[in-house]
Amino acid sequence: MQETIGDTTYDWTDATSHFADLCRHLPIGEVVRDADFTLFEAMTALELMDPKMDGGMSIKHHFQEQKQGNRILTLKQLIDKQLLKITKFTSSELIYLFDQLLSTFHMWLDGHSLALTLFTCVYLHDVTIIDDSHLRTICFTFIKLVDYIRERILLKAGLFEEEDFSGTLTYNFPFYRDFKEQTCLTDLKKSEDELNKRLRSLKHQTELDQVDINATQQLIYRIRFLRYFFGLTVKFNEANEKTGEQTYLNTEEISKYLKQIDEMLQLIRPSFIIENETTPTDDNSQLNISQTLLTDISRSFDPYYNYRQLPPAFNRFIRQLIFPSFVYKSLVNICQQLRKMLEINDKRTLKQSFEFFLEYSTHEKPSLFIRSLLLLSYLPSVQGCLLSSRKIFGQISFAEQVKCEIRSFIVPPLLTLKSISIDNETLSCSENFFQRACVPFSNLFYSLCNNHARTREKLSNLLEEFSVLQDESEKLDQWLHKYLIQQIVQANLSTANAQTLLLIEKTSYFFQFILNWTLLIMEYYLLMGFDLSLYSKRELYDVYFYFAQIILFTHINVYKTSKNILNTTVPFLVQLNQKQQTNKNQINNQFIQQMNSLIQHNSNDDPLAELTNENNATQKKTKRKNPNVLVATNNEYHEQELLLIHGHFAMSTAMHRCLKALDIERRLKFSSNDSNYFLRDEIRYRHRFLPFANLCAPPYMPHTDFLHIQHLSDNRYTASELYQDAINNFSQAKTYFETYLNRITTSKQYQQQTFNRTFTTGFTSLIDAESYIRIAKTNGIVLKLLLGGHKPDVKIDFDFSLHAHYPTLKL
Amino acid sequence: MTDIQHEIQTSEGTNVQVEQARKKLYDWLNKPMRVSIVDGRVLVGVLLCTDRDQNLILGNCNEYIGSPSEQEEFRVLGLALIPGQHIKSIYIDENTSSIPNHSNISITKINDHMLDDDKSDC
Repeated sequence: MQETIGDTTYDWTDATSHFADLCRHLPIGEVVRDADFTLFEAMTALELMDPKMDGGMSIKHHFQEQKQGNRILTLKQLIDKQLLKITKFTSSELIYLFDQLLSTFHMWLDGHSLALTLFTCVYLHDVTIIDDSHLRTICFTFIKLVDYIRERILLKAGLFEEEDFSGTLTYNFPFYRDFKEQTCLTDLKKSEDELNKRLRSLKHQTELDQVDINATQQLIYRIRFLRYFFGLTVKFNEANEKTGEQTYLNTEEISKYLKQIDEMLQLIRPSFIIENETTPTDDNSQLNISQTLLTDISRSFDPYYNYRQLPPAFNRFIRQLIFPSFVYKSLVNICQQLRKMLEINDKRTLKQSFEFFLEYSTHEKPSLFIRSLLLLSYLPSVQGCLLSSRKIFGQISFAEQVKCEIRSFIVPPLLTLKSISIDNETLSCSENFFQRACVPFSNLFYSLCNNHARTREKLSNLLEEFSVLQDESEKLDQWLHKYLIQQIVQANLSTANAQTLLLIEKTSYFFQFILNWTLLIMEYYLLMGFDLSLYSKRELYDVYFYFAQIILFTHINVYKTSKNILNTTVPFLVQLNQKQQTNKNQINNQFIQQMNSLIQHNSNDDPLAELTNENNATQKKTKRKNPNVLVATNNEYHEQELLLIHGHFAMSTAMHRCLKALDIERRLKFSSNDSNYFLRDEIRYRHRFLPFANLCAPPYMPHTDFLHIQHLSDNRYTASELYQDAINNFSQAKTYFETYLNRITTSKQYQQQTFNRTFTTGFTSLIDAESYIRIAKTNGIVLKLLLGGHKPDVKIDFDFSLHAHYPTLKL
Repeated sequence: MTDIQHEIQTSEGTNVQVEQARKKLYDWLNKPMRVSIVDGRVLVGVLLCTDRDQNLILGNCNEYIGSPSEQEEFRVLGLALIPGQHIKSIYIDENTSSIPNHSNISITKINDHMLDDDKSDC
C-alpha cells in the first residue's frame, strides 16, 4: 500500500509473517546487521515498551482514553468545555492552587524538570486567560521566580551536572519576559490589600463563615510570604540595569527578608485535602480543605500534560506532588541555611573564606540552589566576565585579595616595604604572577561549591593548575632575589640586621605561599576520599603514610618557615618602613598603594599593622572589629594551624605504625599479597596519588622509593616497638587536639559568639577535633591491650562510624 | 544409521534455509520499515538490526500515535529498539526508489563512497 509521510511516499508491503518466518531460521544469539552497525551503537538505542525508557507507552490505559476521544485537553479546550474555571475563585481554591504550585516549585528545585512540575499546572500555560487578579498574580510570580532562579542563579553559577538539573530545557513554555519583577511585587501587594479588605468585610457579616475567614487569612499569609520570598530571591546576583555590574549583596536587607519570611512561615498552616466533611479536629497545624470545595478546579493539575514533550531519554516518572506540610518545613530549612550562608560576608581573607566554604558544605550539606547562591554571593557574576576576573563580593579585585593574603602569610618585602619604588619590569613580572594566580584560586572556590564527589574530582584538576603556579612562583622568587637585595643594601643598614637580611635573601616567599595552598588542597583531597568512603582497607596504610610523612611533614615545615619569617622580619620591616619615610603618608611601593585600602580594612589580620598601631593613634580608629580572627600576638602566628597539623601528623603516623604492626602479627582481615592486577600495591598506589604526580613540591614519590622509605620507617621494627610508637603518637595527637580545643574555647571570640559557628581552621572543625580525641583515646587503649599480647588470634576491624577520617580499632 | 543420515540431510537442508533467510534479511537491512506495536503506536524507521526473536533496531525512527500520514502527533526517537514480542505488524518498503525529495541530499557516485571508506580508516 502507498503511504505519504511528510515528504516521502512509501510503498509498503506486508512482511509480518514472512519476516517472522525468516527470523525463526536464525540461530539463537545471531544478529543480522550491517557491518558498520556495531554493538556500541546498538547500546544507545531506546528500548520501547520499557517503562523507564519509553515515554510514549501507554500507562494504565491513559492513551487509550485518548483514542476514545477524551484526549488531553488544552487549557483553552478545558475552558471552552467549562471543565475549568477562570474567575471568581474562593479563598480555599486559591490556597489549594498556591500550595500545589509551591510544591511543584519545591520539586523543581530538587531537580525535576519544569514539564513535570511547574507546568503540570494548566493555568501556567496561558496566564493571561485567567480573569481572577489574585490567581493571575500568583501564577505570574511563580513563573518569574522560576525564571529568575534558573537564569540568574543556577545557570550563572554553573554548578550543576546533567543529572541534577536541566537548565536550558524550557520546552517553549511562556515565561513572560516583558513582565518585570517589580510589577509582580507591586501586584502581590495589591492582592494582599484587597484580600485584607475582603477579610474585614467577612468579619463584619452577620453570619460568620468561619471557613472562608480562616481561608482568606491563610491566603493573605501566603501571598505575603510569596512577596517576601520573591523579593529575597531577586536580591541575589542582582544586576544593575544600567551598568550591568553586580550590586553589592545587601546582607541587612536579606536578613530582614529572612526574618519576615520566618514569621510568615510560622503563621501559615499547610493545606491538607480531606475526603469528606469530618468533624474538625483540634489539630491546628494543618488547614483542612474539603474535596468538595475544589470540584471546579479538579483539572487544574495534569501530570501527563507535557508528557510527550519530554526528550526520549529523560527520566519520566510521574511523581505525586509532595505534601504541603513537608514543603513548608523544607522552606524553613532553606531560610536557616540562607541565614548561615550570609556569614560569608564577614570573611575578610582568602583563608577565612576557604574555611567557611569547607565548613558550610560539610555541615549544612546545601542543595544546588543554596550552593549557587553561596558562590554568587562571594563572586557575583558579571556579563562576559571570566570567573577569575570577578570581584569578591562584587567589590574587591581578586588579585588584590591574593596579594593581601600573601602579605599576611609571609610578609614578602615586595608587598611590605613602603619606600621601595618598583621598576616597570619587576612590576609587570609580579603583576603577571598575581593575575595568573587568580585563576586557580577562583577555581578553588568554584570547586568547593560543587557536590562532594565533583569537588574532589575538580580539586585533582586544580592541582595541575597549582603545579604550574608553583613553577611561576619559583621564577618570580628568583627574579626578586636579586632585585630586592640591591634595594635593601642601598638603604644603608647596620650590621645587626645581617642575619635578617640573610634570611630574606634565602627565602622563596611566593613559592612558600603557593606551596601552602597546594598542601591544603592535597590534604583536603585525601581526607575527602575518606568522607566519600573511597579507600579500601588495603589502601589505608599507603594513604596514612603518604598523608603523614610526605604531605603533613612538608606542611609543618612550611608553617615553621613562615612563622620564622614573620617573627624575624616583621620588626625589621616595620623599622625600615618608619625610617625610610620622610613623609609618613608617602608610599612609593606601587603594590602597597593599590592595596592600601584593603590593608586598612583588614588591619586585624595584617602582621605589620600590629606594631605600627602603637605609633599611629588614628589607625586604631579605623581598625574594624573582626569577629572571625583570634587576635594573634607576635609569637602566635599560625599557632592553631600548627597544632592541628601536628595533631593530624601524630594521628596518621600512629595509624600507619599500628597498621604495620597488625600486619606483622597477621591480625588484619585481608592479606596484602594478592596477584590480582588491580589489587597490586603499585597499581593502587599510582592510582591513588596520580593527581600529585605533576607537582613540583612536595615531589611525587614513585612506588619504589615509597617502599624504600617505608622499609626505613616501619619495616625494620618489631611489632611491639611499632605498637609502642603508635601508642605514643596517639597520646601526642590527643594532646595537640586538646590544646587546640582549649585555645578556641577559652578565647574571647568563642565566648562572645552570637551564632552557631564551628570554628574551622583549615579543614578541621571543633567537632572534628573532639571526635579525633575520642578515637585517639580508644585506639591507645586497644593498642596497649595488643601490646600485652591480648587475644593473639583475634583479627582487628576498623570502625569509621565515629569519624570518617580515622578509624577506631575494634577487637 | 538412517536416522543420523536423515538428520544430516535435514541439517544440510536447514543450513541452506538459514543461509537463505540470512540473505533475505540482509537485503532488507537499511530499508524503510513501518512497525505497529501492540499499544497502537506506529514506528517508521530504517531497519538496522534484527535477531531470532524479531527484536528490531530502527534508525531515524519516528513514532506516530494514530495514522502516520496524518502526522497528528509524532516524536522523533532516533535509534529505537522494539522488542519482538510487542510487534503487531511489519511493513517494508522494498523499492529503494522511494527516496525522500530533499534537495540537500546529493546523489553520490560510487567513487565518492570509496573516498568515504578511506576517511573511516584514519
